[in-house]
Amino acid sequence: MTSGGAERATRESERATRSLRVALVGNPNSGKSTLFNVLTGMKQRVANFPGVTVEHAEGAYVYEDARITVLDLPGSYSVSAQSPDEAVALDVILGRKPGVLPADVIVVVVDAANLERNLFFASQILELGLPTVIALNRMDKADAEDTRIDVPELIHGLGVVVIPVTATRARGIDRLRHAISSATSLPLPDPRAALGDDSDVERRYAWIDSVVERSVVRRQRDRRSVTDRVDAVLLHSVWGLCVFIVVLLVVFQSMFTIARPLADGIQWLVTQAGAFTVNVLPAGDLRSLLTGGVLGGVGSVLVFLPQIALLFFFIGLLEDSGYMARAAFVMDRYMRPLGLQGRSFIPLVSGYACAVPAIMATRTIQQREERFATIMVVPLISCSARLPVYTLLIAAFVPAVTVGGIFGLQSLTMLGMYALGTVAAFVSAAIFRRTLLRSDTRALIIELPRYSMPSFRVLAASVWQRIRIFLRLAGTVIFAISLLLWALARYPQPDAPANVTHEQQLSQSALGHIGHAIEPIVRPLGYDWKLGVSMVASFAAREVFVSTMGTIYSAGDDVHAPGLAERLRAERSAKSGALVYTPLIAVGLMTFYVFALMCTSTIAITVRETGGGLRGGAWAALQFVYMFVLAYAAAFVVYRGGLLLGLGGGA
Amino acid sequence: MTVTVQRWVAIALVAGAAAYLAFRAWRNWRNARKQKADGCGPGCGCH
Repeated sequence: MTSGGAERATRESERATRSLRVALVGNPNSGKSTLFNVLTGMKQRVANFPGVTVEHAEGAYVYEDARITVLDLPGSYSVSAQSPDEAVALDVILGRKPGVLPADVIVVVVDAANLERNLFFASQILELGLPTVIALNRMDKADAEDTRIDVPELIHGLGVVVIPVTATRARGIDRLRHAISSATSLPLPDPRAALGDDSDVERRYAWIDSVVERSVVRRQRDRRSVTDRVDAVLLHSVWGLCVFIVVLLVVFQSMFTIARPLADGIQWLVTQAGAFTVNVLPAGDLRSLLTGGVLGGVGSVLVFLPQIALLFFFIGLLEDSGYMARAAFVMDRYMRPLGLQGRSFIPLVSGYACAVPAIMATRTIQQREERFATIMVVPLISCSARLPVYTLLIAAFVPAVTVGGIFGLQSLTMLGMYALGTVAAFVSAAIFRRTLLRSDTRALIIELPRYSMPSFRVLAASVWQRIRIFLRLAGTVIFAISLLLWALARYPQPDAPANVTHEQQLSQSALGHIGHAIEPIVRPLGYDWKLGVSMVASFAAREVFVSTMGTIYSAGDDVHAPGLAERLRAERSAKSGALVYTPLIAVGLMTFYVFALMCTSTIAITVRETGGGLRGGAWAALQFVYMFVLAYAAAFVVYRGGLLLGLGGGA
Repeated sequence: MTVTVQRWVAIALVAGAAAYLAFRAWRNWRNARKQKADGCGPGCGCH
């Protein structure tokens, strides 16, 4: 090693001679998660409504001689924890959380544009007498509202270091890092200045008012702010609901129109990869596996990547702009008669992305009965995993015509499926709240954040994270299942393979035998054995339905065959020559997928979040059974009802 | 690549896929048991 290299290595080792643990706390929506990302360089989901940070996140950075580990804790309004997520924050601050070392420094993130409310929690933290730094966030917003904060006066009033920052623009971060690094060597906050417990709210707010009066100068405004005027519409009992419905329509329409060319591009790539494989490899098992199993299975799921990315983009856009909290407020009055409050709306909306984080987000609900009712109905909300199933069937069987000159019938059908799941969730919640999970419904207290232009960097990071999760799922579980299904669809082979058609070979394969065994169960719904097998396989993950159909329909080597949707539309019975799949069957199948709980991850998280062990298992079993019965009954009614009305059934 | 070689490669890939899925199932089962043994659940303070 050269002397320069040795010196550098020594410097590196000397850099982190001490370590500090920092707990990032503050009110929900004070910008903690954004500050955490900026401090540590990590990417974390940021949302504009309370309760998104249910579990703590951890990241680290090196500053001068210290390695700083930062814990991003759930938002809290008070140290008197009421909900499970608030309890987590308090446990970590007080060093009571098993397996987590106590924090050396507490950074309280305070929203400069909502100083009075944020100082309530901050004042309680100061009374703990621990090394504390106040990060005065959103200084840009305070400036924009002509609110001038005298920071030295605020430091004098609070008795701790106050660093003005704007996390979204990474302003003031170096000064904050320096303050964190030196916080343990500064005088501690004086715990003698205690202002009593939560019951003495007036005394505490009187103290806060005196601090704010000395350190804040606001220009008086004699007219309503833009936020007030926009809220007058968005929070209106009727107009608010109308706007919400229009927003959803626009989202679904955009998902179809924007995603289509991207999906076509991916389909083209998959087709080209198939053609390349056929050109390079002679006919044989490996070629069939690559074209039928890998490209037919995984490729057919990858086509839906653009739509899933767009769904997460729009959900992030609505959350980060501040609209989602308004939607929760509007929905509160409609959910209250059902026994739920607006706070349950946030996990339900998260359910449009994925039921697993949505069920975890129910920890923000304080009351057990309300929380359990929300957990039980969240999987009825159509998650992104259902999107490939809906899209495939809609593309195959719903004509691409325009309704009313604006919205496409396909996007309206998609919206109908989402609406069906949402209504079913509300009705089921009302039943649970009137039977197994009875209790009074508490009033909704929700913070309405200021409207803000979402950071596209944060949005892009969030969407990219979801894309990676989807690609990992496609590259692991769906890939492995597709290979197994390919083997089951190809073997055992008939004695004289040259003399049988692909359809006959498939029917005589192991997959065909399994499918024929399942067929009596799915036949009343109008499904053939292929749909039955795909439905059973999709218990691993709903997307597997599409990959299984893709594998079944591309088990041959014909890479130039039309896409899966076209093949389904053209599939005819070998016996009668009639169409096997009809729009009626497609609608019935989509209805089944709206209601059925076909996701092992959701079952596992329900077990955990409802108490674990036998008790959690019983709740999860109830959830699975009631949803399956609902799904089967609904699909049966749709199919049989359609037949009675003279709509076409399958062969 | 001959038909026989293709068959053996395909068998290896399918066997690998089956082993991977079995491993995932075992890992999920082990994690669930571990969480239960740790007394981990909502409100336990370890989330």
